[in-house]
Amino acid sequence: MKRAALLVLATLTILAGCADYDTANVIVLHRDAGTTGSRQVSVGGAATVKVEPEGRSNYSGTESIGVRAEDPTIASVKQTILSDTWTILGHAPGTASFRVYVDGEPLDRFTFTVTEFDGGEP
Amino acid sequence: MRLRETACLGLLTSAMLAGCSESEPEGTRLRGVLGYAEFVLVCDSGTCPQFESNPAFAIGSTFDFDLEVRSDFPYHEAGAHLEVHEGDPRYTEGSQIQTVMAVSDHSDRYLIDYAHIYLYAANRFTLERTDGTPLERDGDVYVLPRSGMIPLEVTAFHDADALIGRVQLRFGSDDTSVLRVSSSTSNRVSVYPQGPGSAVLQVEGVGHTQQFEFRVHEGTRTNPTPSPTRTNPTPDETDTDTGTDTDTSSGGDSSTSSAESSTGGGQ
Repeated sequence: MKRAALLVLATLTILAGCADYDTANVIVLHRDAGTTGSRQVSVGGAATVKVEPEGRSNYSGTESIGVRAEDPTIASVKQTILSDTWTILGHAPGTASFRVYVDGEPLDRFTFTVTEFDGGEP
Repeated sequence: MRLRETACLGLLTSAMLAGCSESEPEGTRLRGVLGYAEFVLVCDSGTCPQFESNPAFAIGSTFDFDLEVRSDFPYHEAGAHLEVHEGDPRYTEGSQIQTVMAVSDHSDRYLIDYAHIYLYAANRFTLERTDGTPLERDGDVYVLPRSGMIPLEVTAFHDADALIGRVQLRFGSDDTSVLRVSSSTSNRVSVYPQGPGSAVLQVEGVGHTQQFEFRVHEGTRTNPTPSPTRTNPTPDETDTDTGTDTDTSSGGDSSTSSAESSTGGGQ
């Protein structure tokens, strides 16, 4: 009985030290000027997003957040010098998925639409 | 204090090319989106093209940027270099967006900053002399005296906007006995008016082909008032003058004109 109580206590202690996140909040900081939608980037263009985990825990900024492109031929991602921000680079038209990791564990995913550059005026 | 890196960017490649010469940055600057770097266009000819937020480059052209990075970003001591993200060129149809990026040389290779540039196919070329003097025109026809080499510069336009960047052009003349063209592939070409007549100079590149009509004439001469004290040339002197038939722009006097006439008559 005493052993079981100690085990429960140890488990609770470990759980209390872990952040509890459900989703990743993706905020578009800088839109690609060649697009009309917020989660869009044109072929050859770039957009910058801030990625913050959300859930029962408040994001403290101490965890290691990672973003990986699942379709790097459609769009790739580069971490910027700014904290928790990434730049999405459009390579070819399509829908690109990105996986968000917290301390190496997958948390959420989000998508970006890559569109052809429509030209516009210089 | 700013960290300054010099880089050459080739629009057809996404990598930094080596071998660029250092030069003082001119006033043509492109601010980075994130506010940590500025991209300074290196100007070849001393006159920098002006652009605001949307610089228009020629598709397929090359250009140089100096990179100026603020010193208050982390790892600035590690240095930085430039990279170009251009997307998949298969999807380029007459216009293109590219991203120039300042990437930290730190092992984490953070993206310090980036800026967008816009590229367009040309839909118009203009011709002018490299020294800025106007080319004589008769309507749409360029009129040249039969003389030596004339260096010309081609500017590519997309509508009203002159396109930035070093372009690769091809030149050709449909009648090289009238107008010969040097084998330049840049936007500068030398033409050699060879003889009287008409010829078409074709310029091709940056997604555009344009023909310029030229007319070559023997040159203008002014007939000065004959000097009463002038001694008529001997027949031998007249024969000597006939060898200078290419020097038609020197404003020769009536005796030279006469000599050329006599030469023509003798042939």
